[in-house]
Amino acid sequence: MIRLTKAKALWIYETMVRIRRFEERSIELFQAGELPGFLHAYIGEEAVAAGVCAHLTPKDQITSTHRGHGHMIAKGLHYKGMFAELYARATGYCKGKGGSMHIADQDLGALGANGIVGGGIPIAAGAALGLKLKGENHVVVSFFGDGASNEGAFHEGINIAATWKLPAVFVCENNGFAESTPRATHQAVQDIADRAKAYGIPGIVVDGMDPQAVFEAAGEAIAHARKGRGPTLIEAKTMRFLGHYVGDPGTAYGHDKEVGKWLKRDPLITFAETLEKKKWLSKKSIDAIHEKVNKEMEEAIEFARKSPEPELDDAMTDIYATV
Amino acid sequence: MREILYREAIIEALDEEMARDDSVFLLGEDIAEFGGSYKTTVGLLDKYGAERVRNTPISEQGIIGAALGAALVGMRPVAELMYIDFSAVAMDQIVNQVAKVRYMFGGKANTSLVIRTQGGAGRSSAAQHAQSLEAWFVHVPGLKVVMPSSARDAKGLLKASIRDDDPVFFIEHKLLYLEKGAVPEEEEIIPIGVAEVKREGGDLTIVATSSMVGKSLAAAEELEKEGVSCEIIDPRTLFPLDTETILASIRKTGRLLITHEAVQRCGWGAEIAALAAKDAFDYLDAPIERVCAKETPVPFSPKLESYVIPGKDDVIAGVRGMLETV
Amino acid sequence: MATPLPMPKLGLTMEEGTILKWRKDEGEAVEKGEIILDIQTDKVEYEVESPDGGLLLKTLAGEGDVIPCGTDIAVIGEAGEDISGFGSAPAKAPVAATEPAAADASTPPTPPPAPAPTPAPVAPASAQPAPEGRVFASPAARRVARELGIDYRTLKGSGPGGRIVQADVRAAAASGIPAAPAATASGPAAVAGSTPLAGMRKIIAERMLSSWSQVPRITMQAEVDLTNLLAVREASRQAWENDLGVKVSINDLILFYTARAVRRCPAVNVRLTENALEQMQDVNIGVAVAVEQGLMVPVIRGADQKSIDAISRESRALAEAARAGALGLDALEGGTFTVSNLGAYGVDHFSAIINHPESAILSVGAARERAVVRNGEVVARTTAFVGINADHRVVDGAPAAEFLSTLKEMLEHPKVMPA
Repeated sequence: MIRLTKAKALWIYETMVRIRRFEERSIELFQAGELPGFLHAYIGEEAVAAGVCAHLTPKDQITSTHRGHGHMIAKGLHYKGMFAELYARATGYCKGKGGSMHIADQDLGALGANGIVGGGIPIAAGAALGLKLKGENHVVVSFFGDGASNEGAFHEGINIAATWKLPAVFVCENNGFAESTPRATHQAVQDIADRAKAYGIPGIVVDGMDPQAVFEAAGEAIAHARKGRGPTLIEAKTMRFLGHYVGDPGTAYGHDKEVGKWLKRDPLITFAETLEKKKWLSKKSIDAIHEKVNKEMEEAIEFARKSPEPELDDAMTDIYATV
Repeated sequence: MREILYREAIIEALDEEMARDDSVFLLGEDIAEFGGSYKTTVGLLDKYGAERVRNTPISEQGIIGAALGAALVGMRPVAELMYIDFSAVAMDQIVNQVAKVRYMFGGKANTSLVIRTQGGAGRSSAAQHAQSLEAWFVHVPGLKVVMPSSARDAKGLLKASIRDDDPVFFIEHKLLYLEKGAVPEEEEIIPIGVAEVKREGGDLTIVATSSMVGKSLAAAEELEKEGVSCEIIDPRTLFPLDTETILASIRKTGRLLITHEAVQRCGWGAEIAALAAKDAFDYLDAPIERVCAKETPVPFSPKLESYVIPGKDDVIAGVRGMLETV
Repeated sequence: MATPLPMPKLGLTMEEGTILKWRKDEGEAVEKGEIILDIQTDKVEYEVESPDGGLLLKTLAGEGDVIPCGTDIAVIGEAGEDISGFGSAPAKAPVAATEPAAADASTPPTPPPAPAPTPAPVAPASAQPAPEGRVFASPAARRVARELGIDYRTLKGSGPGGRIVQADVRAAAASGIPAAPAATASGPAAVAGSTPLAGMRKIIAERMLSSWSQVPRITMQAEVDLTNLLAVREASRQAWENDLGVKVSINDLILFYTARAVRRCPAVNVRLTENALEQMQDVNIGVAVAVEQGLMVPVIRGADQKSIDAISRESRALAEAARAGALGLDALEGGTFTVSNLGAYGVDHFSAIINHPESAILSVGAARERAVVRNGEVVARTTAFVGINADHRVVDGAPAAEFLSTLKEMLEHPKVMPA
């Protein structure tokens, strides 16, 4: 068992604050009409990204989803490039050509958010294969949701990774809804982790609202992968506190009724209390973290606002490396 | 020059590139011990081992996704789709992932991978194993599409494709695998994006791809006896396209016939026709003709198959029709 | 009254023609303008039309005969007319063609010269009225008609469904031509005069068209600072005049250096034949000269071996002979690289058409004072725009550019004192 140290715990807390604040500000800016496109907010699921990525080095890789801001922040991407991308500016991570759903940074091991449900799973298997062939002791974590667990890509990707014992960890963020469809009406299994049996790999159910539980389960799975023992399927039971996208009230499919009991388990509140009890955090240090994050966030937003838009010619670059 | 089979040329290209570059590896269905459904990877398992010659589950989107993931972390995978028809199962990975990541990520993504596959009719493989679907992939910005018609082109272009930093969709032809052709012993890289004039002529330009190149050459032999001189251009790469070679020929001959094994409507030939109509308009002396497959799924019956798929005689008839006088 | 048909004189230098084929037999009816026979000159095959309607009463020479221009070769008239006054034409033995420029591989006889800038369309001849409604003509036919000044609407198409195709237009151009009526606000434009497309103009038209349509060009230009060259000329003027007896023009110096630049960059001294790329052995510089009937390109042979005074003398003599119509065929043949200089007309830049089968041509604009930047300062220098047009099938961009930069370097820093 990998124990949660004070340093890791504080990192996880601050990361969750960073994700929460990023999403809150994104929503405000989107609603103020400053951001084009649409947003899928990660609010409520922060414990999963932070708890898992606490184990990763910049050389480890992740694939992510349309709801990917949290994973990117936890993987070390900085706000400036992310906000600039949301603002569709030339200084964004994707030069304004990807947007919210495609933020990526190869240098930091972020193989991209992905607009296709389940699309990242086979890619994660392939990245793990590449790392294995290169003889590098890095792992790949693939984040996806309960909806993706019904995609063929889920089956193909995990089966390949399992068969070849690749250094991958598949993290299913089960938030109970595939867009608007409640989980019980899109699959018969109670626990998606049960599907791990079908691939001959370990399947673990973990409380996705508890950063420590996520940290410990992920730690085990990642160590397992690093030792060359193959992938693990982790199912983190969690909840998005908002609708599928910013602007979806969640009322049409019962999300609004379901979300109430989860709000009491908001990891930002519960984990702060836990750390306060351990004397690892105080009201004062919590305020200091929030203040620091807020300051960085506003600076990043200003940077994005002041950044230039891409030139028209930029539309025609980066399609090919060489033509 | 020595002559080898098209299939052997593929093996040689893979072999040489795997020997040259450790980051090159193969993955696909039945490619290891079995040597590939069309025997295009025979001997490579023994030489390079199971780590680099990987049999995969029958999981086409898994194969392409795995190839992309490996490319993203710096490998140069060569993924094999046993039949181009099976690309339909992997379309998300090919179209939404492989073709897009470089652009979506603002240029910061290694996407050096080759998807090898084979298409075409002629063996009674019927509707799900004999299609020519190249136009689907040419239509997607982010992919390069290569379609060699000879052993020499197959080898030189496959080597170039493996070394290319972009995803290359490499389409072989099942009937060409057992055709022999001259291939130099020494290393030859044939650059992507360069057409070849397979035969020079003055009366009419035939732009032909894959198996239609050979059929067109045979047609041109016959037409020569009637005093008709056909110029045959094989683009070899459908994208990037060597438009200059095609246009120069049309400007010379004033007549254009395009032939491919894919069905006519919305086929790749329509793109060439549009190119000629715009950039060689004032040089056209006759309407542009297309000799393509009939617009039907590929039938199983040999009799029906050869009726549907264009042959040498269809090319000859097409040419004669264009040169008709009152 | 019977009308004689003489061997036509198709160009200044044409002395005689060979009868290739009689299209009509004696006694056969012919219409005015109908093609009656094919002849061949040393440069071109040509269809000869009947000057009058009636019967071909008599042919005065046989196929293969070489007949001097102006000598009667046939008589047209009505049945029963007296033609006893017409005797047989005196035929000569065929003459061997002048030696073409030496090439490493064998070359076909050099075709006639093609001059530099694009020729104006031929003046319209009497046209049949254009038919009403849609006329079906291929885009290529329309383009060629436009280029040759032919009214394609009057032609009969030979393509499917009677579509007019390129060949129909070319055939029309080769016989007498119904030219395109000019577009005006109301009524056709007045025709000031009409000349059948024949002789030099016809050759120019054909050569221009063939070069333009068959040779993919690459075009590049450079501004060349001639200040130093002019200073050299000024410094040497007295000596050249006194000792050598020549007045050296800027163009003479350009010819002199061009020949040397061609020698140094043999990649532009090539020609493309059916099956081979030929590297030319000699540097024979063609000089485009405007003459009354069109343009001629007399050739300075071995120009890279000749001194400036020899070049100067020869170019002057050739230009004068061209204008006087006194050039021999040998002076027109064997060119490997042409220079066209329109500087005297004040032209700044232009793009000459390649004198096919040569592979490159130099376009030289006017030398005049222009504001240029030297070491960060705007100063007045005498410059000219010099450009190369090259056949891109055989001359790649880099070698063409290398040639241009070599020439520019030579002209800007004349190290070889011309003498």
